[in-house]
Amino acid sequence: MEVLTPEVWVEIGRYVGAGLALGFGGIGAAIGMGMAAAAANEGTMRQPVAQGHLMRTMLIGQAVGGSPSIFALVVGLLIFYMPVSPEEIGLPKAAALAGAGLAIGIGCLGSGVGCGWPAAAACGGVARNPKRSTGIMSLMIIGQAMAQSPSIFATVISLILLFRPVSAVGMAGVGVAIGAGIAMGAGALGPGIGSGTTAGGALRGVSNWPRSQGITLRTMLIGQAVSQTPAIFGLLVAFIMMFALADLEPTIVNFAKTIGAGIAVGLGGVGPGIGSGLAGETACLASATRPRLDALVLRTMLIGQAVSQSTAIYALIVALILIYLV
Amino acid sequence: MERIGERLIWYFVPGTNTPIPLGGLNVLTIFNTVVVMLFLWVLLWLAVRHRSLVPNRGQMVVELVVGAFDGLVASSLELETREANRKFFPLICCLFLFLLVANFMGFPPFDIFEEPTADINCTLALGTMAVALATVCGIRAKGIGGYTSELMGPLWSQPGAPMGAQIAGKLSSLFFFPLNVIGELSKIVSISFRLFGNIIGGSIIIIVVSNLVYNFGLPLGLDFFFIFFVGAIQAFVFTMLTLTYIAVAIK
Repeated sequence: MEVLTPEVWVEIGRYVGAGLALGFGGIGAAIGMGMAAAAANEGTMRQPVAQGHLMRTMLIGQAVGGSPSIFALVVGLLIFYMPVSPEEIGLPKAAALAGAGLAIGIGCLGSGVGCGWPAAAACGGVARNPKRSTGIMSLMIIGQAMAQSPSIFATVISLILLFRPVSAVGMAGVGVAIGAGIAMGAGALGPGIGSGTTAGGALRGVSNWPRSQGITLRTMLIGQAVSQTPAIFGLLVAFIMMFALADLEPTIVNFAKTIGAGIAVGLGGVGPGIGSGLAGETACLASATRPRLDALVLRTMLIGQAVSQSTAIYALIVALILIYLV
Repeated sequence: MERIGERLIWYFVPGTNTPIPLGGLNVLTIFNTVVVMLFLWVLLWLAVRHRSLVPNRGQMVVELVVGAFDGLVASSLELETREANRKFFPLICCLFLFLLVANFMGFPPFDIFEEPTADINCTLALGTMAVALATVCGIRAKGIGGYTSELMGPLWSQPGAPMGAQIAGKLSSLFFFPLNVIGELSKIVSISFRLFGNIIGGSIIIIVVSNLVYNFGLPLGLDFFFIFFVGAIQAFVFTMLTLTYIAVAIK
């Protein structure tokens, strides 16, 4: 039976963190790439002449959509190989390594799946309308870049967890690190998928009605931006935990409090993210079909998304109450 | 890399022991904001120095931008007259140009140039401005009564309904009012943290990857993706969200 010294804990945190980062981080991008390939196959069957365009669209879509998993790879390797200075060795640092893995792993899952929708819809669109492949592809890249912002937030939180010394001490430090990881990671899961479905709707619309590309682009950007609100709440709570809770008492209650706040805002954001993405998807289709009713469509979408995000706001309030009032 | 996310703040007036009020002065943020403003001012002044009916190159670019935003504002707000739409145009166009250049400030490879939008104080100020402006425009368009009854939820005013339904509707505002107020406040958080998170995320990823590859080759590609591509998209998103908040509030 080995003795669990602080050095051993740091090693455990390192292995768990790297495993979580690479394990979860790979799931999403793989599913997304598979979706793009499936759509390209279907397109080739329908329109064998457009095979060259289809292949190019598929490969570019997969390459851009793979970047969340590359973020996860980079951060995972950093977790594995990063030197830890002797004065930092202890439970909080071990928890920070594991928390960084949680944040980047789960955070990149959503964006990876999300990037698959626009790539698949673009392949379908190119098969239907090979001459428009340049316009479709540029819209696809913009949609994918937007769908990656939750994974960028997750990368930020995990890198800050890695490189900054954990402010709180003892069990509170452990709770802060793991809680921030869950808040950001799970919080980015839903918005990543949701902003992907929105981009998919926009691409389906634009490949059927190419003339309304400008208006559909605007609806898509706003819909994606609003559906990322839960991820932003996760980012906010993670920042509060990492920077504003330095003088937390190192008790087991504070450990539970911070973990609870992280779970509340993280899991609370999954549903609203996906739901607002669904609203954005149909809104993009609607403004592509009827560009003149764009302002009406945008208003309906925003009000619907605001209501579907009320649960994320409850989750944020519960998390803030847990942190500050209880 | 231990200094990731830290900003240079002067807590005292330089050379003295006098503390600066409100917790200090974010020197680089303010300096870079001024640089962005001067840059835009000089660039636009040079472009439209010799105005003529047949535009030269600079004037044409400025006219393209101005025309595009004029159309964007008009099609989002859909007010009756051109002048009513034009009232919001300077704000929206300036906001976009400022944010665009501000997000590109991470590109010059000198330590004193960094994105003012990578400081939460800058984006929070802009976000507060956007939501406050939308609220003021909403109150002006609907009157204070109309605006509050909107905050009270969809069941607040139901003319012609039976007495019981009226009372139930008024009671439902106890549930809807806090929700709507918090929803409005959370708009400030979401609009400002979105810009801040994307910009600071890009800069942190660039710093870390540059360190990993010993500053060779790859950072330039990352610069183009995170600074120019993501920066331009986020500047546009912030501007469009401001415009949409105003449009939703006045309808």
